[in-house]
Amino acid sequence: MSILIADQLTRQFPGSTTPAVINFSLRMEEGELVALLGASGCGKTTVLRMIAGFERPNSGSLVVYGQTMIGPEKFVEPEKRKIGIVFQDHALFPHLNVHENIRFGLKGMLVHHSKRVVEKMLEITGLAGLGGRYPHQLSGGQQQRVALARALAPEPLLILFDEPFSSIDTLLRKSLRHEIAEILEQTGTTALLVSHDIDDAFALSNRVVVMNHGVIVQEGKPVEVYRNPANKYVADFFGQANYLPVSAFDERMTGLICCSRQRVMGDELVCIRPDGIRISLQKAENSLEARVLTARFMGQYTEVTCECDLGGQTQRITIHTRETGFDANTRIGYLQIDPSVCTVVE
Amino acid sequence: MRWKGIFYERRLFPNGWVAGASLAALALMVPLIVIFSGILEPTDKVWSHIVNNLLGTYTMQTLLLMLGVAVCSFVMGVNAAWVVSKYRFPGRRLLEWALIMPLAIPAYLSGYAWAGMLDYTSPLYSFLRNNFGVHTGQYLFFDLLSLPGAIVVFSLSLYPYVYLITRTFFQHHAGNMFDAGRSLGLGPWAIYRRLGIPLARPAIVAGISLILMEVLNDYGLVNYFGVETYTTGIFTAWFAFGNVGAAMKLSALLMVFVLGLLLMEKYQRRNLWYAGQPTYAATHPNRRKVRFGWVITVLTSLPFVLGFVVPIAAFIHWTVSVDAANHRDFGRLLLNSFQLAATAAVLVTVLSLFLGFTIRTFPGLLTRVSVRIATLGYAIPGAVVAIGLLVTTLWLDSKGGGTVLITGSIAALVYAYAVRFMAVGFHSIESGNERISVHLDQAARSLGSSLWRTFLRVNLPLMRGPMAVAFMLVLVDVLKELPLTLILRPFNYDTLAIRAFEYANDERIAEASPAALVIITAAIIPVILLNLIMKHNPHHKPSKK
Repeated sequence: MSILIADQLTRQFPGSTTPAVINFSLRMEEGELVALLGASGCGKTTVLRMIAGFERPNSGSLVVYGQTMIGPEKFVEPEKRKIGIVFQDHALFPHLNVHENIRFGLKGMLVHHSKRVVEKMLEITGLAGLGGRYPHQLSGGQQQRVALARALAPEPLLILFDEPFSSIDTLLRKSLRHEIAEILEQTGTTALLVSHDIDDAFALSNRVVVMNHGVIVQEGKPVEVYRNPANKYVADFFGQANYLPVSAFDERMTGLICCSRQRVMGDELVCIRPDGIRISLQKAENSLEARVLTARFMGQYTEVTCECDLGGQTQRITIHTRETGFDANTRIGYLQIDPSVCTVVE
Repeated sequence: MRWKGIFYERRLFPNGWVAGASLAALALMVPLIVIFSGILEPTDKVWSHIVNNLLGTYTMQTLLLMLGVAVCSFVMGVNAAWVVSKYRFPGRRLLEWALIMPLAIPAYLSGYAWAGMLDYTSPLYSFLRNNFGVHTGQYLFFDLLSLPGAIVVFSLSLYPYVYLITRTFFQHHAGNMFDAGRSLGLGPWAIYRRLGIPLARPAIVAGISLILMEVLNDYGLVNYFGVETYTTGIFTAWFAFGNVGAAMKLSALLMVFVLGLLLMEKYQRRNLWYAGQPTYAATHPNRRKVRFGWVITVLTSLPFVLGFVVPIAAFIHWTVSVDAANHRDFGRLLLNSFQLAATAAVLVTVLSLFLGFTIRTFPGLLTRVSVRIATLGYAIPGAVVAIGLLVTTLWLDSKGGGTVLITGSIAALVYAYAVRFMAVGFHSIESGNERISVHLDQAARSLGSSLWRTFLRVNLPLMRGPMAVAFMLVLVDVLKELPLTLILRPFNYDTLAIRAFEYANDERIAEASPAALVIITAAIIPVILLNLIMKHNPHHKPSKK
């Protein structure tokens, strides 16, 4: 059974000429971790707030676990939705300690029972023994885990994350992402994550939805979206890319790259990720002779910018390689482009 | 599937919260509506007498008083703010803080103190007469009980408004502009004249507007000093002529002045730009050292000494020297005053909490308008609120079978205080709310809390501090209040302020001292609090209180 079915949700703010979200539709299955990505102002937070119940759409419907939350003449208040939310600023109640924070959503439960739930949550989130502390006595990462524990405690149907890691420093962010991914998998939680950070999406989700200007532009597995972006916006959003005119390739290569497309107009660009190009010393099919312009050691890879002759024009191509020791203005060898990692974008 | 947006739009009143806020606003607006309806009342003999013989004087004297106070408090407040912000001299740190203190003495009490001291029979005058043979006729230096006297006393007790707001500007918001001026070769005087005053103009105008609103609100001082303003006119119309219609018309006219000031203040405050982040200059003030620093010390401490030390010393002296038999019913006065003030403060605080949570949760147009209306009273002079409410209660009593039940009741008085001081309480609750992320409320609701539970379990506990501040500020304001209390108090119901007023008008100022001292002592607390807030949070815009 689908946990969440959002159908054509549209939200236009009063006084604004264009809707913030236009016909947003999404279906989530049980246990799925979906990341909603996009630059700031793309409408992703509005979607999250509509699902949580803090924002009313102008039209569209929302069904969570078979129950209509938003529909014609129907609007379920946020407190009745059983949808948990973890905020960017954690929003821990400063006047309550960790234990009381986590127990906040367990009203109507017998005390000894709710105590057990809180203990279990503290254990799952690695906070055992910190129940008596107050939010201001916790580190950023601990606060984050309390926020998660608090949202998980009432066993929500779905949990929402609003930019959960942006207030946490870079070093901690990485380990926290993995911890939270583990907790979510361990508890079988269905989660929707809103973020502008692609690393959040890669670490935490098994499906990504990319939004721009209020509409969904692409959705799919993280690797698919990374390798085969639907357009330049998505391609840029997910990292560096080389754009080469489709006309620069010979017919056979074009055929391989564009196999999935109905028609090629000729003015499209071919998007190739810097890590989709290999360097080889021997000339082979589809390989291009190239010269190094600059080489910059980046730690886990070396970023090499080279120049090569493609279809009669000189093109610049950036590649990421694990090899080191490139000298500027030398021949690098041959660049081998794998047609399966090339995508045509508008 | 698509449905028309209309299904999703909120109804006019989406819930009880917004409906409640609107009702509260309507209720608090009643006196103002009544006052403006007074314009429509048919004119009678009393009104034409006022128009023909008194209105000119009222208008003239009100305008002169406003002009004089504006000039005097500008001189005192702005110069002091500049000197304290930009120069180093002995006692600077102490003075920076002490210069606010006169705010703790209501203008009318300051007036009584000065009048008592400069009276022909006062110890000071007797001393000068007997030892130095000073004979200046009936008055010591000049007749204090006059328009110029009132201007000086008003300025001495109200200049801190303009001082405080310009000081904050000079110290925190002018950024590096003064340093830039110095590097361009401007001397200290040129910087003050060419940069300081022009840049601070919005702050100065805003501060002076607040001062003038206080002047329009006053009755005690103008009454004692014999200045015939609109407020004295309202009292004459009601107490001497017994004519409510004329009082209403004068109130409506007075409101024209108030609206003018209000617009000016709003307009100028919008122009008050803030330099954003505190600059290096703000965090590391580079104050100029001056020769003869003690001269500056003496000059700068004058407003503090004359506006605070002298009146308090006088009141203490009289309190000690007056026969204890005169303090017999002092306990009852205290009880009356504090009971009344506490009741009003509780009412205002509870209403503010409710309005604060409503606008936080439903920041729609209706709520915003309601809150704006509910907090309008701070601008309306006490006498105007009182007359508006008096007319309302008289009407209600006449509809209720002719018995006087509501008019002159404690309930009506407390209600009038709520109208007048709602803004004071609401501001502190509002600034408390602004410091708390709205995500806390949303988190509570996503955890299954209803709005009520969120209000009680999340908002209220976090509002403890602002609640205490709101309660205390309103308490003190009610203790100080005079004109509204004079008109609406139950028969023979005396408070500290009323007693001070009555003694002073009986030429027994010395006997008014104990009551005055209690009021001043209570009023010192919020002044200290205000200073702390302005010091630690320079982005806080000082409002009326």
